[in-house]
Parts: sequence; structure tokens; C-alpha cells
Amino acid sequence: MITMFVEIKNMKRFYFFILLIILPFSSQAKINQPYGLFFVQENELKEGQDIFEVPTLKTLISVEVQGLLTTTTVKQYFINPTNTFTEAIYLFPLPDKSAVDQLRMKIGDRYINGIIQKKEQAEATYEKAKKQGKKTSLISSSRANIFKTKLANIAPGEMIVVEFRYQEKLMLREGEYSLRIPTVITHRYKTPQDNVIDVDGEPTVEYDPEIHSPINDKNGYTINPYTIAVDLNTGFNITMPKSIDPLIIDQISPSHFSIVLANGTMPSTKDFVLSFKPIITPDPYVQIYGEEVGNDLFLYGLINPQVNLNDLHLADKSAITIVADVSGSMSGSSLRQMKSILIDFINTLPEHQYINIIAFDDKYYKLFSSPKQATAYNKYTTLKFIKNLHDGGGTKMFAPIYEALFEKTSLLLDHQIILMTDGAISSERETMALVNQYIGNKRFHVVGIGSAPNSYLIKGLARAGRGSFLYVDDFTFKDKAKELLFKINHPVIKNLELQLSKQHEILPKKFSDVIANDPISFFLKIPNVKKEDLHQPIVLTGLQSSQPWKFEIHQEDIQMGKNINQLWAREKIDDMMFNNAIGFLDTGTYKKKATDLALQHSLVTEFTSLVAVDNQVSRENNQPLISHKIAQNRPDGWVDPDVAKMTKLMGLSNGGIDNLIPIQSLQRVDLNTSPILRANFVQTATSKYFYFILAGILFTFSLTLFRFRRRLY
Amino acid sequence: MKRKASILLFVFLLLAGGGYFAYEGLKIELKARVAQILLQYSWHKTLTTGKNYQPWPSFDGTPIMLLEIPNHNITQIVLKGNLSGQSLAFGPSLDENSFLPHEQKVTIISSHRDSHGVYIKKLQLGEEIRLQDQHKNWYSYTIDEFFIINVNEEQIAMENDSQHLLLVTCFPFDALRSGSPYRYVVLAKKHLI
Repeated sequence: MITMFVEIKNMKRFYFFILLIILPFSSQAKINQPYGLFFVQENELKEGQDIFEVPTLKTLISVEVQGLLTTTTVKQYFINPTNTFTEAIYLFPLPDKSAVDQLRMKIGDRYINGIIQKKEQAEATYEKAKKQGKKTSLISSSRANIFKTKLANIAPGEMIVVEFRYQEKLMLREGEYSLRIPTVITHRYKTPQDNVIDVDGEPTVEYDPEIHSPINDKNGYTINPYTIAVDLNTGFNITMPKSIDPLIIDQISPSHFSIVLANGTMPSTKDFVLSFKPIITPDPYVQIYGEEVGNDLFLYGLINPQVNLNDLHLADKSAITIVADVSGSMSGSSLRQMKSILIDFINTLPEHQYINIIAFDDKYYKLFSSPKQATAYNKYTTLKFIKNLHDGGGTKMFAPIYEALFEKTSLLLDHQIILMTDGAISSERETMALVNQYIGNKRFHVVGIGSAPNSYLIKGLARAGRGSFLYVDDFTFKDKAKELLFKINHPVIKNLELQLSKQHEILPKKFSDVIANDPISFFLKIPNVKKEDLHQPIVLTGLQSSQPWKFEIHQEDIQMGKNINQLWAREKIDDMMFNNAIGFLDTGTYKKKATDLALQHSLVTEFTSLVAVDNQVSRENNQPLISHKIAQNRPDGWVDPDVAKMTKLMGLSNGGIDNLIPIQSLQRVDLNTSPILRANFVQTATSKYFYFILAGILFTFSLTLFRFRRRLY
Repeated sequence: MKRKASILLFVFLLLAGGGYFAYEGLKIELKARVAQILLQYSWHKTLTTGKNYQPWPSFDGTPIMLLEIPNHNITQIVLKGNLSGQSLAFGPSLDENSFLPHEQKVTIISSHRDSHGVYIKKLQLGEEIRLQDQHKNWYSYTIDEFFIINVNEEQIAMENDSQHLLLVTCFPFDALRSGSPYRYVVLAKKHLI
């Protein structure tokens, strides 16, 4: 509540204090999604059904790094602590763009391998095996980075080992590589919105310690020790790998390290992150990995131009058009921040640059009809325009973007368009398609503002516009936006193109400019070619400070790698998904093509799943799959003798788990079987009454003062 | 005389200030009231034509549902919200990350606590909430739980497959200024037929 004191003395002096409540910044909430293995109490998932978290006994992770590509095998040991046959569901998050390609289930000494099938087909295979009483498991994905495994017919007290493998690329930010291993069980990740190009060099997906599992807080078995072994063979010299967890590092060569956890195991309370830097040489360095699959050659390349930020020259002549969102949703601090950045930017702009601003709500307002040189006079006009911007109205982004794309600029100018918005618009597809089609030699960058920017739109626009994107909030707005403005005005290599005399397919289809320390990476598929057939070099060309820049990749530069075809397919599906989103590929074709690719390269996607079926029947038909005897109220401290035995056995075979707290009871949890639901808690109040009260006070004062004046005479 | 004039000027200044704030407050109030009338009209059109219909050209939301709470005489048009919450000024909005009732998943509707959502604090357990979609199908819910969350710190764990309706509004109800991190959430369970 507002606190207000009004004191009137002798009608001559007024004292009043108004204490305003300081506005707390608003932010969106993240919805918890439990990850891990769950037992289902009925055959089908239904509302109000009881679901229990399965205690994890341990997790073994081994990572093999070949160059920049990582192959991670996760092996998890679970136990069925109940006295009935059960079905289990297992949810786990993986880093963005990781390609799951293998699933194995271990029963006793036998391994059962998963095979790739169409999603519906795989589901049917699983259901059939489940009814027949065979052990079966299914791995499927409904979103890029959330995977689901189902296991049926696990015997009472039986230990289950689920093993899966995924491929990933090492992340490179600001010259530092990092490898991140999610702690898989019962941990939350920030929603994909946060997986952004982060100018600060943070890992793209971060474990958020703030997000605790509601289950984890309550239950007794928080210990899920995991063992990590990394075989790091980069092929180029690197600094000693670092992590916040103590490590035992065995250096085999300057480019090859073997890493294990110093304490043997660690609890799954945080992510494991390993980072290292390449030992910098003055020359740009290149890493090219190749793999022959079938008749085709797949290549993955990464080139780092190694340019120091201070050595960057301002792009000779460039025109910058800023498309600024001033709609009602931008009101308040977002708009103020945007204005102050723009003012700073205009003030520092050298005279030979060209500038224009298009502000929009449901109409648009152009500063100049086309970008004008930043002379003192034009700057003055621009600053006046910025100061006069005020918020209001809806958000119609299409027309101003159209205007920006079709602005007439001299051919000699490099045209950069920067959109600053909170992304609250409706015609997403049309806008993305527009940018995609008419971007030409221009570049389109996006700055997403506020607590809940529309990441789908922002990423899509930057991709279509061959530009970069970043998200900013109230605290980081100034620094980040400034850095972006600096970087895009000082590109390292522009107009990058790849030339190869053979027929090939490259991803990304259009390169964005190389800015500051960002590396260039690409996937290449050369059909019907062996590595030995590449007699002519692959040539990358571009412009570095307006001078031609060229880089050649020779056959001998290509190192042999593994699973590149799967990463290529993953990238390809991603590309098709984008084309589908902007309406360039109809949904039917997309589904068909993506399914074919995934089946061919054994990838789990939204259309394909891996399914494994045991050939032996474990459960006779007369035994129920799930019994309702799984007590919701199992007495505390009661331990199933089978479980105790198994725990003890495992404790003996592995030093990591003898400190395990005995499994006390099953915890009831909520289960999300479908994608994360991210509720968007917008501000749901206005300052209406505050305004009324202020108005009332002011009216009262004016009235008293008026009376007072009359009394004087 | 000089003194008189200066006091008069001061009076006018105060009047102008008061007028400004009254205007700001009334604007919010009017927006909310007038919009619902226009929305009712466009909802009627939507129902008869089966297509989405924009109530006025510069508006970037669309009416998609009718919210009815018989016990409190509430009949409101629910808008398809956008992430900014701009449409909230005009009516309760469906969180665009949530789902429509026929999709058999969670439905989240946000309202301003001081305009369309004033009734939310009066809701009682067991009361009925009804939703009508643009195909004239009715869905009925029963209020099951209330809770308060801090959006900066807390989250809701919810079953995505559960067909709940969440009504969200700002909390505390009598705060004078906007910007509170607290949300009052009403959870209603769907009647499964």
C-alpha cells in the first residue's frame, strides 16, 4: 500500500510525502518438469493416476571427444523396488541439437538393441511386446531436446540398465570450448529461450541452480552418484581442461587428455562442465572431420579466424537501419533503455556511416525515407526523433520490416537491419518468409527485449536474415546491445561462400557474417565421393575489411571422424523444419523427408523412435503388469528385501553407492509426458487506482488552495 | 496581486496534474469496458461465421473463447493473448503457451486483478466455470484449489496432460501499483464426460 502523510498547518505550508512502492521487475515463471524414471500404476497414462519416481542407483557417463565432436554414452542403473511387474517411463533432457542414435537395454547379461522405426510403428511394436509380456523399451522425442524412454515388464526387484548414446558438437564461445553433461535425473534446465547466443560467452544451455525439483526437496534419496570419464582427443593443442569439480587429468599428449572425477563419483546436484582453450596461434585454424557413409562423404568443418576484437576495423561504409518496436507492450523501462542505447549509438557514429530509424506500433514512422549520412545535422534530427518516440498501440511488424528491406541504399553500402522488439506479434510466419526471401545482401539482426521475448520469432528472423540475435533484460540491456552494435559494425569476414567443384550440399545454406570471435562451422555432404577423390581443395572465400579473403581446405586436412552423417542429418532436419515454419516446405513433404532422413541415419526425431524388444517372454499372461498393491502409503523405513539385496550387491561391486540412503518409500510425483509447458506470467494488474488517488489528491489541493486564495482578499 | 496570480497559476497546475492522472486512470478503465462491448460483438460474429474476427483493425489479439461463471454473473470474452500481455488491457487472455479446452491439455487464462479479474478473489471452491469455444462447444470446470506463487522464484509443476483450467491474476489484490511478482492462481478441474 501507498503510505501518505498530509499535514496542513495554518493553511500556509503543506507537507506531503508520497512513498512509492518500488516496482519489482517482472519475470516469467518456469514450469517444473520432472525428469527421470517413473513407474506408472496403470497400463495407460491417465489423469489422476499415481506415478512414482524410481530410485536411481547410479549413472555412468563416458564421453569420447574426437576433435570437436562428442559421443556420449549414458548408462543408468535403476531398480524396481516393488513386488510386481512394472512399466516405467523415463524422461531426460539433452543439450540442444544432440542426436540420439542408440538405445540399449541390459537384462541380466544380455543387451537388447533398439531399432529405428516410424513413431507410430515403434509405438505399436512396443505395445505389442508389452502385451506379450516381453521386456521392451522405446525412446521417442516430442521436442528437440526432451527425450522419453518407456520400459515394460520389469520384474520385481530387478535391476534395469538403460544405455543410450548421443552425438553433439563442442560449444565454442569467445575462444573457449566447453563440454556440458546434464545430470539427467530430476534436474531442470532453463527453457530453450535461454539457449541463446550469449555475448558473455556463457554456455548456451545452463543448469539453473535456482530451479529445484519439488520432488528432490522432499525425498530422502537425493543421491544419484554419477561417474564421468572423458577421453578428450581434440587433435589440436589445448590448455589444461578445467571444471569446478575436482578432476584427475592424465595428459597423454598436448592434444589428448584422459579425465575422470577426482572423487570417483559426484552427486547429481549440478551439471558437469568441462572447458578448455585452444593454444592460440597467429594463423586462423581449421578443423575438418570427414566420414564416409555408404557412397557419400560427410564433412564437418570449423574455422576460427582468430581476430582480436581490438584489431577490428569499422566496416568501411555501412548503412544501419534500426527497426524499433514502440508498441504498448514495450512501455516503461524497455522503451527507456532502448532510447538511451540508441542515443549513445548515434552519438558515437562516425560521419561516413549511414543511418535510419523506423519506429512502429500498429503504424510505422520513418525517420528518413532512406538511410542518410550521419552528419552533425542528420544526427541532430535523429536524436530528436528518438527523444520523441513514445509507446502505444498494437504491434504490426510486417510493414516496417518490409520498408527496411526495400530501402534504397547505394550498392556500395553494406546494409544492416537491426530489429529491437519484445516479439509480441501475430504474423510470425509471414514476417520470417518476407525476410528470408528478400534479405539479399543485407543482414538482419534481432535484439529480443524483456522478460518474455518470442524466441521462435527472434531466432527465425535472425536465421532468415543471415544475422545474429541476442536476448537482453533490464540488467544487461545496455552492455549487450552496445556490444552487438559494435560487433555488427566491425565484421571480420563478410560474404562468406564455399566453393567446391563437385556436386555437394552445404548446411547452413547461407552463411552469416563472421563477427568477432565466432567460428564458422558447416556441414557438407558430397554424394558418391570418397575422401581420396577430393583432388581439388574446398575453397572458402569472403571479404575481410573489404579485401578478398580465401581459405583452402585440402584433402590432407581432413581427419576421419565418427557419426558425422548423423549430425548432418540432424542439421538438415532442422533446416527443413525452418523452411516448413516459414511456409517454403509444406508439412506433408517435410514430414516425409524428415522421416526418411531419420530412418536412414538412425535418428530419434519427432517422427521416428527407437524401439527394443526382448525375444524372451518375462511375464506370463496371468501375472498383472502393474499391481495396485504398490502402496501409496508404504511405511517409512520399510525396505524391500530384494531391493536391499540388490543395493548391497551393487554397493559391493561399485564403491560409489555404499553410502546410499536406503530406499524408503516411493514418492508421488507429477509427470509431464508432453513438452514443457512454459506459462507466461504477464503483469496482471494496472496502476488504475493509484492514478485515481493521485488525481484526487491533486484536485483536493487545488481546491483548498483556491479557497485559501479567496480568503486572502 | 502578484501573489494572487501566482497562487492561481499553482491552482491551475495542480488541476492539470490531477486531470492528467484522472485521464490515465480513466483510460485504463474505459479501455477495459469499451473493449468488452466491441469484443462481445466480434465474438458473436465469430460464433456465427466460425472464423476469427478482429474487433478493430489495430488490435493484435483475437477473441477465442467465452468465459462464464454463473455464480458471479461473469460473462467475458477471452482473447488470444500474446507474450507481452498487451491484450490484457482489453480482456482476459489465454496464455499462448497453454492450450484450448478441446486440445485436452492445460488452459491458462490471465486477467487484470483490477478490471476483468476483480471477481477472481471472490471465487469459492466447488464453483463452476464454463468455457465456450468458437465452435459453440461448452466445457465445464469445477474450482479445486487456490494457490499463490512468486513468479520470480517459484514454478508450478503441472501435468501437461491434465485438463485443468488455471485462472491467473496479480496478487496482492489491493496493491496500488502494478509490478508485483505474486500471482494468485485458481485451479479448476474439467468435467470429463
